[in-house]
Amino acid sequence: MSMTPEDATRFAADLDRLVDAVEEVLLGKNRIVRLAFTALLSEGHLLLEDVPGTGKTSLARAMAQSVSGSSNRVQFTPDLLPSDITGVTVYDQRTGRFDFHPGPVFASIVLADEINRASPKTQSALLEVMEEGQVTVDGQTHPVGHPFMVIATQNPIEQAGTYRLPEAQLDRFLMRSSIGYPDHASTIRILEGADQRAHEHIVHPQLTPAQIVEMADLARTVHVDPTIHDYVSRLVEATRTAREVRLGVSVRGALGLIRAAKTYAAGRGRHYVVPDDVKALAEPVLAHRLILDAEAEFDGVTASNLIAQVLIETPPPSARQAG
Amino acid sequence: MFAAALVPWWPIYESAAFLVCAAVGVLAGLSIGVAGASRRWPAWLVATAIATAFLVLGVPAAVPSRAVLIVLPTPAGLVDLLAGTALSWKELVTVAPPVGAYQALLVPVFLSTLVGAAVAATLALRTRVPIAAALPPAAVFVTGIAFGVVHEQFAAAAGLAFLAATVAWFVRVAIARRRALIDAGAAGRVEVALADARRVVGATVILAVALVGASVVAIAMPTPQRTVIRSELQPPFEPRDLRSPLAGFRTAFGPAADDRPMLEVRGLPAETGLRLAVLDTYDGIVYSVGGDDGRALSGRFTRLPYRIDRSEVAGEPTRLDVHVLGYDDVWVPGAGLLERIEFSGARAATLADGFVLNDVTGTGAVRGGLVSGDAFTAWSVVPEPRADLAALQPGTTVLPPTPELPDQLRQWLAARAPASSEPGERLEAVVDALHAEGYVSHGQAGEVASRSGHALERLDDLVAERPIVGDGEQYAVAAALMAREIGFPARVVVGYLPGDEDAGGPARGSADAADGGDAVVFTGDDLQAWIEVQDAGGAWVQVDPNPEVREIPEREPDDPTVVSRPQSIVPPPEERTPVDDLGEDPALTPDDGDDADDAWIAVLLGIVGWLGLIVLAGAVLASPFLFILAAKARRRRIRRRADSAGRRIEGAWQEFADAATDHGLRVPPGTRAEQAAAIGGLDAIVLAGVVDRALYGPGAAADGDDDRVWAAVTDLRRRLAAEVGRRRALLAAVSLGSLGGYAVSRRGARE
Repeated sequence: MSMTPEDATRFAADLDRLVDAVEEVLLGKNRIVRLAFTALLSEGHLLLEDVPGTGKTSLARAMAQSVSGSSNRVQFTPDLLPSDITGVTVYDQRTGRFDFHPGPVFASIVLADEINRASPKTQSALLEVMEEGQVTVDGQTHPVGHPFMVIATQNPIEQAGTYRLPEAQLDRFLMRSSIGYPDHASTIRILEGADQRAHEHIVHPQLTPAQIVEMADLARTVHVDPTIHDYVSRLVEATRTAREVRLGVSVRGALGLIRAAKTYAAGRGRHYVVPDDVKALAEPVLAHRLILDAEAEFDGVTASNLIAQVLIETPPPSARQAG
Repeated sequence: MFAAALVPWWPIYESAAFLVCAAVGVLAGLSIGVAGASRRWPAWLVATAIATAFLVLGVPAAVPSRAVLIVLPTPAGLVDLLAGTALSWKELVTVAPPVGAYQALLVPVFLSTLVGAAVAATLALRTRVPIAAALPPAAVFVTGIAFGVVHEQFAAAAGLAFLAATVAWFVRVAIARRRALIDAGAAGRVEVALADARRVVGATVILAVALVGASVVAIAMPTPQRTVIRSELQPPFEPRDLRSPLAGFRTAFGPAADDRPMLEVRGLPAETGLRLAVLDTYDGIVYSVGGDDGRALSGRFTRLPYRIDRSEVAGEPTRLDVHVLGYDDVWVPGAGLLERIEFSGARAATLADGFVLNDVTGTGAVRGGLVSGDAFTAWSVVPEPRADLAALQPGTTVLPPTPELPDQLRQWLAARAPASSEPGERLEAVVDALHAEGYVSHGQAGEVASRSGHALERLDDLVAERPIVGDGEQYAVAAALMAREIGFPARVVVGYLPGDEDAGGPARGSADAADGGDAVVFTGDDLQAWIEVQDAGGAWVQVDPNPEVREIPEREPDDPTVVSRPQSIVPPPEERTPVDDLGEDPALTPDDGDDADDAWIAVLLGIVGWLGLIVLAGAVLASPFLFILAAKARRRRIRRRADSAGRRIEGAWQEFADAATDHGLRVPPGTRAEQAAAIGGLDAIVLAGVVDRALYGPGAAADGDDDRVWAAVTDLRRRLAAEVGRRRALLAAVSLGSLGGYAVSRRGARE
C-alpha cells in the first residue's frame, strides 16, 4: 500500500509542527532539526560531530519533549562500563530474585555524549540496541520501546584519549551531521533570552509516541520509482570506484539513503521520492561511511567534498530511464 | 605538449613555413575545441568547424605557394589542399627531406595539428577524463616519428621533451581534480599548496629518472638502426629521372676523361662486354631506359632479394670482382644476367640497401650511385656468344614501339639487306655493311668532324654521308633500329668493351701485367655502345655493329639535289574599301521597333537575374539559420511524439530548459528542481514539480497529462520570448546554445 497525497500532506504538517517546536529551543537550526526528525522517523540514529556548547543536549531533550517521550544523557568516559548503559541485574534479598535495573539506554531519545571517549567494548554495547531496539542482559531480552533514537556526539577537534568509532558502528548511524554555531541573528536572539537557561525551556508535546510510530510506518509506504533505485545504486557505485576512496558505501548505506529519502519526501508533502531528496540526504547519510585513502586525507580531501563531487558527476535519472 | 609533439616533424620540413603551418593548425584547433566546449556544440558542429577551418586556413598555411596575398586561398590551392589530404602522406615519405613548403607536403602536419588540437581541447574540457587529452598530441608525436627521417639526431631529446610535457599535463589534471575536491573543504591554503608541491616534486623525480635513464642508455648502448616508414618504403627507382647513358656518350672521350681509369674488373669472360645500362625505349631523339610505368621492361627495377634463381638460363656462370676507380654513376657494371651481388668496402651496407635490379635486362643500379672505392662481387650467367648471325631467327619479346625509319636509313637498309633474305642474313648484312662502310670518330679535337646525338635526323645523315662517320652512339642506335625493322627485338647496351692494346692505355682489355692475374682496367674511352638482339630461343645475343678504328678517307661531295617548288594557285586577297564595309547585308540590320523590345527584355532579364542572385545570396546566408531552425523543429517533434506519456512529459521539460538556454539563461545539468531554480520564477518550479510527479509518482502518467505539460511549456516559452523582446527572441530562435544537448561537461558541471 502506497502513501496517498493526503497522507503526505498530513505527514508534512505534523513534521513541521515538531520541527517548529524544537527550533524554538535550537534557534536557526531548521535543517539539522529536520534531519534529526527524519532520522527518528526513519528509525535511524544520528551522529553529531560537534564542538561543545552547540546545543546537542538541548536538541535531544527538546526532541524527546516534543514527542512526549523520555530522554537520557550518557556522558561517555574511559571507565564507563557496558552495564552502565544497558542496565544491570541485581539480586533482591527481599524477594530472593534477580531484578533488572534498566540503564539510561531505556529512553525515547538517548544522548550518547562524546561517544568516542568510551572504550570500544562499551561503544559496542550500543550496537545491539541501535540495530534491534532491544537489550539482552543475562540472557534476557528487554525491548527499549518506541520511538527510540540514539543521538551520539563526538568532538572532531580533540582526539587525545579517544577511541575512534569502528566502521561497523559508524555504519549503524543513519546520518552524521553537525549542529554548528548559530548564525549572527540567531546568536543575538540567544543572547537576548540568556536569562532563561536552555534546559529550562519546556517544549510542549506535539505528538504522542504512538503517533510517531504511526508516522514512521507511514513513511515506509512512500513510493520510490525504479529510476530512483538506479540513481542511488549509481551514486553508491561511484563512491566505491572513486580514486580517493579506500572503502565505499555499503549496501546498508544505500538502504539507509532510500529509507531516509522516503521520510524526507513525506516531510516535504510528497508521496513519492524525487532525485532532489536523494541529493539532499546523500552527504549526511553516506559521507561517514566512506574511508578515504591516506594520500587523499593528507591532501585535505574530505568525505563530504567527495560526496559532493560524486553528486556532480553522477547525472540524475534521465528521460530514457523515466519513460 | 603540441610543441613537443612537433619536434620529430622538424627534420622533415626544416623551414619557417612549417612553423607557421603548425602554429596555425594548433591555434585553430584549440580555438575550435574551446569554443565547442564553452558553447556546448554538438559533435557534428565541431566537425563542421574543423572542416571549415581546414578549407579556409589550409591553403595559406599548408599550400602557401597557392595563396594570393599570403592569406587568400585560390581554387587551384583548394584542389591541391584536398588532394594533399589523401596523397601527400605518401609523397612525404618518398620525397627526400627536408621538403620545406614543397607543393602540398605541409598538409599532413596542418591536418594533424588542426584535428589533434581540436580533439585534445574537447577531451580536456568536455569529458570526465581530461587526462585523455594527451592522446591526440601523442598521436601527432608518433606520426611525426613514423613519417620522419631515418637518421634522427635528437630522438632522445624529443622523447624527453614530450614526456615532460605529458607529465606536466597529468600533474595539471591531478591538481585540478584534487582542488575541486578540497576547495570547499576545511583544508587551508598551506595544505593545498603542499599537495600541489608534492605532485610537482613527484613529476620532477620521474623526469629526472627518465633523463638519467636515457642518458645512460644513449652512452652505454650503440644507436640502433632507426626504422621508420621512409626506411621501409623506399621511393621507386625511376630511370626516366636520370639522363640516358647514351645522351652523354661523347663526354667519355674528352681529353680530360679518356685515359682516366674507371673500373677494375676480374673474371670478365672473353668477348663479353661489361654492361652498364640496357636501353629499349626510343622516341626519335633519345634512346633511353624505360620508365617505371611498366610500358618498357627495362624500366622495372626492384630491390634484389638474397639471390635470383638463374638455373633455367643457358650460359656460363661467371663471377665478377669489380673495383670502382673513377666511375661514378648509378648503373652497376655487370655481365649477363645477375644472380647475386655482394658489396664490400665502407659503404657496403648503404649500397646493398640501395641496390635495385631489372630482372629482365639483368642490369642493376644503386641509389646514390657508385663512387671511387666501392667494390662488389657479382655472380652472373653470361650467355654463350653467337658468331653465326645469319642463322638467327627473331624472338618474340614486345618492346616499346619506335618511330618509322627515316628515308635514307630505310633506303640504306634496303640496299644492303634486301627484304627477300632471311632475317638473320639481313641482320648479318647490316652489321657487315656498317663494319665495312663505317668509320669511327668521336668528333673530338684532332679527329674528323662527327656530330654527336642519335636522333632520327642524325641517323639519316649518318648513312647519307660518304664516308659514314660516327661512333658507338650512332652505330648502335642505327643498328638497333634496322634490326627492329628486320624483325628482331633489339636493344642498345651501353658499357665497356675490351679494347685493343694499341688503342688504349696499358692493360686495357687484357690481363693486368702488374697483377699477373686477369684484372681488366677500363678507362673512360673504353665506353662503347652495342646492341643485343633476341633470337627465337629467347636469348639475347650481343652484336657489335661498330667498325674498327681505322683511317678515315676524304669526304665525298654531296650529290646535287634539284628542289622543285609547286606553283602557287592561291589568288591574292581582294582589297576591301570603306565603301564595301558600308554595304552590309540589309537583312542583318535590326529595325528600331525590335531594338526597343529587346532592350525591355534585356532590362527585365537583368532585373530577374539580379533578383535571382539576391535570392540565392540570401538563401546561402540564411541557410545556417534555417538549418538550426529545422534541427530544433525536428528535436521538438521527436520529443513531442515520444512513445510514452512519461517520455513526452520529460521531453516537454527538456524543451523548456533548452528554450531557457537559448535565451541566455544558464541551465545547469542536474535535477529539474535545480534547473528550475536556476531559470527562476515560480512557474518553472511548479512545472518541475509537475514533471517530477508525473515521472516519479506511483502509476504511469496519463495520456492527457503530457498535453497539459506541453501546453504549459509552450506558454512558458512564449512568456520567455515576450520578456526579452523581439530581437533577442529572434536571436534565441537561431541560437546554438541548446543544440549541444545535455552533455555534461566538467566545465558545465562545476557551474
